[in-house]
Amino acid sequence: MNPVKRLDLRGWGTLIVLVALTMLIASVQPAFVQLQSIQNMTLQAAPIIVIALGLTPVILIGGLDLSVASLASLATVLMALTIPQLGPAGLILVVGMCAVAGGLVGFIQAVAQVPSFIVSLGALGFYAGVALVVSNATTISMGAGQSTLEWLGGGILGLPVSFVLAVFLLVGSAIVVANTLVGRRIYAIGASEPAAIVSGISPVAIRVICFSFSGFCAAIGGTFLLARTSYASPTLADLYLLPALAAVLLGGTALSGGVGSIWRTLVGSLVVVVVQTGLVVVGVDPRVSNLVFGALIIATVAATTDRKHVLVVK
Amino acid sequence: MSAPLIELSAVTKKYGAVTALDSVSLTVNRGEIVGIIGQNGAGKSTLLKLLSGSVQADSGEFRISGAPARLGSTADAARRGIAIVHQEQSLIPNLTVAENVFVGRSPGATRGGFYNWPALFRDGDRQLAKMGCDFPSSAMVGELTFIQRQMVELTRALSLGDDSDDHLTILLDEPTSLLNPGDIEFLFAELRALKQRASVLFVSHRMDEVLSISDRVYVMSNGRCVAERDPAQCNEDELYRLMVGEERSDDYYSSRRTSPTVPSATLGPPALSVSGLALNGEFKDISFEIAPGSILGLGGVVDSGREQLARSLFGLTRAPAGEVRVDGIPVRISGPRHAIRHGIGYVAAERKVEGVLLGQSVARNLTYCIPDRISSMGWIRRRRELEIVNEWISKLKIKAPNARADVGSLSGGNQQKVALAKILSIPQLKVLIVDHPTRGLDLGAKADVYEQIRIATASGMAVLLLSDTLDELFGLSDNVIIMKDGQITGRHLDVQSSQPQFDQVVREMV
Repeated sequence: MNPVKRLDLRGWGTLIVLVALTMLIASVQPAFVQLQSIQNMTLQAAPIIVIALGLTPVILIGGLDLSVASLASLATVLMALTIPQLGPAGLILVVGMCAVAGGLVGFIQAVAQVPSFIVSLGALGFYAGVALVVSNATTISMGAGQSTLEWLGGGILGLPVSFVLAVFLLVGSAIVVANTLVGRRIYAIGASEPAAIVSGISPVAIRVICFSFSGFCAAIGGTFLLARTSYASPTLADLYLLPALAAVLLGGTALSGGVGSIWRTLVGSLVVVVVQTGLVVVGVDPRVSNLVFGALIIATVAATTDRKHVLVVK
Repeated sequence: MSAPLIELSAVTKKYGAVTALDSVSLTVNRGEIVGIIGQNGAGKSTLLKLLSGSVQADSGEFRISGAPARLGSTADAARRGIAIVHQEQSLIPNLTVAENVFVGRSPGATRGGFYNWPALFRDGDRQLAKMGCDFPSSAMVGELTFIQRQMVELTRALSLGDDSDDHLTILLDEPTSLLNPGDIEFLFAELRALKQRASVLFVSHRMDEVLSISDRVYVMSNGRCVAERDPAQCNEDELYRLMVGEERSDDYYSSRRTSPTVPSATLGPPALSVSGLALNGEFKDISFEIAPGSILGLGGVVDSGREQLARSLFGLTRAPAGEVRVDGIPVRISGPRHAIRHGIGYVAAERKVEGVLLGQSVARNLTYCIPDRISSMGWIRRRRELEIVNEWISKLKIKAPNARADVGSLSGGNQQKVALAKILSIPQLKVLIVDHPTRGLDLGAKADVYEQIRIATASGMAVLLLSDTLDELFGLSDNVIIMKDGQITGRHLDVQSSQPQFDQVVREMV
């Protein structure tokens, strides 16, 4: 079998939901599927796809990273402060710092044996605090630095560059996870860490890789947002945690670890964006969208938790 | 004569396409101990679940004292006087014995929703006394020994009789699987004494036990009740034949003795030699050698330190002090990956926790220890992987629908074969540590595991064997060492030519 066929296309269920949902909304409001609307949605989808992409390996190893949105916000602030001076080097610097910060969360989690949601919750607070301090709790205009990110606002075949880049990153990651030893080990640790250890797999290394990737993706997500709004804010991306988490779980990657795939997160992200936009189209107050995602997360996890192996969930 | 206490007629239970119980009929009379015997997957567990109310039959009749019964839950079953004692103990370790005995029911000893502790312990002690237990009901369950906890389980089951108008039936699921011989005798004496107050359904795959305790025996195979026997008029061979449908291979250890044994002295350094090994609080002064192609048995009771010793050799504990040599070369093992690189493999005792990765495919399970063989530059080479996987599936005759099937869907025996093959496929393997390799397996699967261990030694592998039973330990090993409290208390060389007295071995162990 060739590598692409190996991508585990079992996300079909969610794909059907995606198509059905799109058709349903289009039947109410035909403008929903016009080019302009699709361009808008893909532009919105880019940060969600990337942040959710970063979350996926972490969830595959049975962990959880609650700090991604907060780190993305911090990344926008740091970029707004560095890019006007350093140009593209500032972008690379901040993305690298975020990857290191993520890796550190993974390292602390694995070595200190603290649940990842606690470590990442602590990191969330830390990032938010740093972002408030360095930004002086205000929004920062990109000013002259905006030219460095301008290309992200362009289009390829009518689709926003950020969206194309997000999908490209996701497909690349999916191929890597499905075809490399690192990918195998991610699934092994998610399925059973004790058995993985006895098989000679080092959980620390894999955890650091996954959380570092999560930090990297959060920074890229922040960059997309920054390119769109042209100003940074210490809370710019904060509301993206719930949609990104919903995207991973709706895609069918199990919170218990070991089950799921990167590919499914793409479908899950698109469902999230269609729901987000669809709510507006059918006349629901956009302010309730997080309420919807909160409910969706609970419902998805309730429906997909594997109770064969876990009798009682705490 | 009155109606039987429990009567099943033509009961069938299906899980999807799988028929777990196929038209099963059986009766349990008052004051009777009924044995149920069968291999893993014969339907014993489903039968118990049905009788204890946790699953319901698809068809057939279930009568208690002649009246049709429908049990919706284990609480329903308890009200009708049916109590189950599970194989894995279901006590709550951080509560007292008395709380455990009355858990899930409202004991009389409460005041306004709060426990009246003195009264609770008085009631608890009274229940324990009925069982002849000599520990107080205020003891924490976590601090009791295994057999004591088993007695608490029985006490809890029996105390149900006080709440129920029906005659009591106790379902025992493999109650002896983790007990040592003395405790088993004690348990059996208690069960015989219980016959005045309760009927017992005794489920086991150990034929000698079922024969010695039961008044009547049912044999199950493939979801059917294939025979009913009077223990006085049948023997183990007959039961075995009924269970598996083939003649018992009388001694499944023996064929290794006919295989050519390698004269170890001529082969240079021992495959594994250990001297002065010590791990704080676990074991000390451990020295032994294993020649290529030979099996060293490691005997001892729970807490003898032998499990920790085996795990430390694979790098699963803190690094022990002392010297470990593989093929004469000193090695320092800092983790499983290291151990594997030096040619040491470990087949874990807890198969479902450490042995195999449930939810992952057979192929992936087989290749986790050999990343270098299935990849180049970190990328999986599918064709090479599939070749290796198929080679080992056929070598060990692993019964799986295909290489991509979830290992969790295989039987226990086939899971264990996967766990073995995963280690055996390591090309540089010189030392194989097998920790309770046949735990929970039926006889056929055990024989397969023994065969694989023999094949490994025939190819020059050194094996360190930890075993559940002395029969297995002395049946398979060339040399045996016995450990107690972290130290070696006995060495028995060449046990195949001169079997030591078992009572002496037991003295070394306890």
